[in-house]
Amino acid sequence: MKERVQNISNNIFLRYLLLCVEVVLLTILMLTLTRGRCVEYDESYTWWMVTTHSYAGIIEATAMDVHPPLYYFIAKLMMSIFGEKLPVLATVSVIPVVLLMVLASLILMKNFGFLSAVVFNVTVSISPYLLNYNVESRMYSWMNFFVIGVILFGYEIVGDAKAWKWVIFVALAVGAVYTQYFAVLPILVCYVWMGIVFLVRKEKKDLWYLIISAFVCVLLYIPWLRILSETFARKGTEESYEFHLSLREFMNEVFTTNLEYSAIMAGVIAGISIMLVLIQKQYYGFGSMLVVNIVFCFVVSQVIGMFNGHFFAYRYILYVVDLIWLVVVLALTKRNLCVSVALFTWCSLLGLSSYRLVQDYRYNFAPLMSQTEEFIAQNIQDDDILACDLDNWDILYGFYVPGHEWLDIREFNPTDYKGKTVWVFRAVTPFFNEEECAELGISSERFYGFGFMGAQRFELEKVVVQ
Amino acid sequence: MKKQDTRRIWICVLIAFILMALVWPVGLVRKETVYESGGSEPYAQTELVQEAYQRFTAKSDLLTSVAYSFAVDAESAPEGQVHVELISEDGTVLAEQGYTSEELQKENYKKLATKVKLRKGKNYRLCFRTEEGAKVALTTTPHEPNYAPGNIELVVNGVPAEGQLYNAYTYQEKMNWKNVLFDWSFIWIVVGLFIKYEFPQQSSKI
Repeated sequence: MKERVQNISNNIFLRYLLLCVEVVLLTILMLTLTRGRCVEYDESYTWWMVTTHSYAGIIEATAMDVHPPLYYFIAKLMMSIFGEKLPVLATVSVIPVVLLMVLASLILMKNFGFLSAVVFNVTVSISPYLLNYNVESRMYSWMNFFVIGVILFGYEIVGDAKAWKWVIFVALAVGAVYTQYFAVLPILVCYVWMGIVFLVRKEKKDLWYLIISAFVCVLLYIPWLRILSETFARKGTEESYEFHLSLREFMNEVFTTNLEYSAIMAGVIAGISIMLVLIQKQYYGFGSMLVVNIVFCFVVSQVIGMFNGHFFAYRYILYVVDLIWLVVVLALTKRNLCVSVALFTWCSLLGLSSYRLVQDYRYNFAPLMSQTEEFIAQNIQDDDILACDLDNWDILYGFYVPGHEWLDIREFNPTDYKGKTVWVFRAVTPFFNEEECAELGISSERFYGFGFMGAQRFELEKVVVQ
Repeated sequence: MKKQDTRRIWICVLIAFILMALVWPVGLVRKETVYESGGSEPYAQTELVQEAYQRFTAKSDLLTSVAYSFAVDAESAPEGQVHVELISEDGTVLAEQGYTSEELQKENYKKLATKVKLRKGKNYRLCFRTEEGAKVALTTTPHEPNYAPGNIELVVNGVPAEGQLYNAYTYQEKMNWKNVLFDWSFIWIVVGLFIKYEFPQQSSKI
């Protein structure tokens, strides 16, 4: 048995073949969640951003938002090549996961062994929380790819610095900060760790390269620095984020599946792994850097969030989940075959359970949506005006019912729409009552039981202005 | 390999198998499942109860609680009490609980904590009996899609009532195969950490 395992372990071709098969299977699994599914609010925002803005317009619009523009550029580019279709937009989010798996297969297998790469690929692609964002038409999977890429290349450079590695390292770091603002935190910790390693080893040349690479990163980010400071200074529309270090809440949000006690088990496994990594002090303290990074990003991002209500959500530090998995892989996959196989089985089951959850979330709303779309197609005419009763929700409704003028029903002035038909999407406000109808000179007809994903449920009111 | 190490491995393996057996087939680790009345339709209520029972089929073999709701007139002076019993088909009382009308006026949704072993698929009765003139009715769900799974028949004062009791059964169910495999792999991860054996992988360059 031992010899057979040794043979597999030493057969490079076989190892790469198995990893290729794994990456292909996991990619297919993710792609099955990108076709014919519902779109939620944030995704409709991406669609709106990409389809209604030029590249310059994206810069202008993202300057007013909480995310930088790189992801939207990539999405727009892909859609201009492969067509303005929803599956194309969703697939844009799968691409970085595939790239990350390829990168992990190469770097992890070379440095930490075949099983490390096998387990890590399963976790970064289909594990709970990550899978949802890996198929969501948002920037988070790209952020993860850039951040984890920087950290893996950082390790590579510390082991064997080469010019091309420095170039990729800088490119990934710049990509990360142009994709999500919070990506700067783990990269900062990685830079500090690399600096400490070079200082301890008295490698002056590499230390200079590190300083130059940091300088280049800052230089390339200068165009966006002013916008970053404005974004940070701008008060969010939501209430301020309340700082709280609830590890339990985080673990529940990230690791809960329909398998019993999955969050508790993940907590135990992560805890043991962190302990082992800190005790072992291997790989130039790489494991310890990952642990410090997890804690640093978890705490600092929330502190930053306190200053601006719309500037923090757990998904903004999604890379922390990847870092946790990386620690688990480092700590457990090199111990013995028993632990490695058990970990692979456990992670695979967790991943398949998460697949089921995401599938339910993305597709279960479909019957109600079809019914809604059918009603709208049959009843709403092209020149009808549409109205909604929540701020900015015309973006989501507009995705499903495109090509109409939208207005806010709370600012509705009937005299502007004489003889017109206005369809009101009622998510929170009540229908016009008889007195209001008489006062405004309108007739009202009510229809019940509609829903779009993200909007969940709403009623429709057909208002004819006399 | 040293003799000590071999012994250690065997001890770890033994512990792992014992823990695995506790998950399945023993079923020490279970998952909580609630079978409850659903839907958003308005609830109904029975006539005033003297004696009533809800027959139901056990969905699992360990029932931890049954919840139900009473309809009590909050205006009238509280008098009497209600006695609730969980009875098997052969008449054995498995759990019981009494409430005064005063208690029910304050909180009409009550839970009978049971933790009794049932036989899955067998029928049982949840019996309600009022004493000393208590004026209490039971809350029901009138239509079938909203019945709590397992409910068969509601009989109030000797007459079959419309609908079923508005209630919830909480069971501790044995794990399905996915959960069992998940738990078993977790056991092997933890136990495997105590096995001192270096798997021959490509050695790290450090």
